[in-house]
Amino acid sequence: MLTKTRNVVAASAVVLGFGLGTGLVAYFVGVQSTGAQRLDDLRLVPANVALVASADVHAIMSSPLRERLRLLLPDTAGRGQAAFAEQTGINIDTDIDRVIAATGRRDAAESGADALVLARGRFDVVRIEAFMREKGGEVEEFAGKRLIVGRTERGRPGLTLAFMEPGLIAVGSDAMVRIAVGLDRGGDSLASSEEVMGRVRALPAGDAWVVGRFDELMARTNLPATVGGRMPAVQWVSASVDVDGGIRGLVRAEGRDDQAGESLRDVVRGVVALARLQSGRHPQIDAALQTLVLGGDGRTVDLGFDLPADLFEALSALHAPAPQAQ
Amino acid sequence: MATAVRPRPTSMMAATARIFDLSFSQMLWSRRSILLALLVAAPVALALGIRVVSLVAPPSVFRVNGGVIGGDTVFGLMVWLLYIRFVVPVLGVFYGTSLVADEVEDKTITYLFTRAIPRGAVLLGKYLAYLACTVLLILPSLVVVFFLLAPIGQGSIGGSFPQLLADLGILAAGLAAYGAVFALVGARFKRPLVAGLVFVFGWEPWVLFFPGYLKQLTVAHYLQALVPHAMPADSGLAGLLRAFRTVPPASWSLLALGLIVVGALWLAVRTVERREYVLEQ
Repeated sequence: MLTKTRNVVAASAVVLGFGLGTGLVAYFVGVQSTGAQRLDDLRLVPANVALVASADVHAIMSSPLRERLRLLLPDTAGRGQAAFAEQTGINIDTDIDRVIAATGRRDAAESGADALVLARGRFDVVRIEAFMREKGGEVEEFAGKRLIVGRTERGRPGLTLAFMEPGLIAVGSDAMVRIAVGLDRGGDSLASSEEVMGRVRALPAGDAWVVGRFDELMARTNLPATVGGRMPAVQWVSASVDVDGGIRGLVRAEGRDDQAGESLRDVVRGVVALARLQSGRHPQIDAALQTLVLGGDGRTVDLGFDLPADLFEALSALHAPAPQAQ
Repeated sequence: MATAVRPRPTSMMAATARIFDLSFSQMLWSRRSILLALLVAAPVALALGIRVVSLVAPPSVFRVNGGVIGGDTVFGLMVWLLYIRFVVPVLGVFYGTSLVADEVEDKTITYLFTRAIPRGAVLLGKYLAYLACTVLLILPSLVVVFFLLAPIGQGSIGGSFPQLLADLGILAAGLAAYGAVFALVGARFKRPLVAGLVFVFGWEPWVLFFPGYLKQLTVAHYLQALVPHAMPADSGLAGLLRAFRTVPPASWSLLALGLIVVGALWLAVRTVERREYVLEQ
């Protein structure tokens, strides 16, 4: 082999090796820091919430599935985002990386008014503040943080927003945001609740997850006694989804005991069988139902699913308006 | 009385290695390498241009349907449209068809066929040299393009890295499959370059539009099924493709590409071993 040929081979190997090595390091460092940061932000969520959810907005917005849906439904996707950006100065595509949402605080004065959203990303602080002031919001200092308290309208309290640190904002009910600000200095947060954190860690890795106390959430919905009494005794629900070319995920429910778990498995099995019977005329829905996998044991019921991108394309085609006759 | 000593025939593997060693440098420093250099450098230059624009222009430059597209999306578009649909097939045509045809045209094939080596080893050695030559230059080009484009906007090198690995594998598979097909074309036909260009720019794009089994007689059908990026679909062409699309599963595509490589090489070796190449005087 000629010397110059050997040099080309060596140069090629160096570029490939350096590129793959750097990419590999970036990949693992990125995965580790993302995971740590995702759970780290839970230290700002009060420990006694009934529901907590997290979503990697950037991963979902840049997923191949979302790209496909955006190309299939360009108008609907663009309009909603443009309106949101116009109102808040926040572009969901580019500004938000991750969100954590929590609600259902046990000691809340009234249900439905205790939501908290923690958003990580790049925010135009001046524009957001100007917008909220324009809507009647008032700026105040609380525990060393800058809070913008929204005006109460028609008896409903407005949103409060706090700039927690560069790239992290907390939005929600006034009480929840103030608790989050307080927890920034330490305290009993969700991050120290092993019953929630254990369930978060037990979920398969994904772009979004949710963990909630099902019984507490049901109690807040004020279901009629006849309906509530027939619901299986579910205590916890959790779910995780991974959005890539399609959506795959797992929904997990935990009954109070093994008997409740068995009843719940029977209910889910029956519902899935009924849905399969009804889906005969729609092969796309039937194909989606075929991906459902029922599992779990004892008091736990797992339902896995894997929805391919083609399903969404087929569904969008089903709902597309028929071409007008000439 | 002196007896004539016939040299013992070299084994197929050893002969292939010798031909590979001989052909690799020749192929790398041939006139055809100008094309290879252009195909390697053009995407890098384009990616460099895009990166410079992304640094000096506002983010709104990279918008599709109102949404800002990240560097990983731009990279995916370049992989799809530039590498898979153009660079890989073109390299396959120009190098694959020339493996035997060049030796016939230069009237040097006699020198190879009169050596004590299996005739098939000549084709196999040259095919491996082609594969090494193109893989060693195209894959680093893709890596450089990735590092230039991936960090643009909200894209990240770490987040897009699995896609890069998949793309590198797909390009290598594409080079192997197209090279094997056109090695067969070069061994069998008298004007292989014309036949190859018709296949790549006529048959493959044309057949992908039509429903039915014809698209299974292309390499592009199986390569496209492996691509992890969303297909650009904002054109009438893409709409038609989507309407008639039947994407095979990745495992089936890999199997099909493997069968194409093995089948085409086997037929090419068989052709070279049986055919009498008549050199024009």
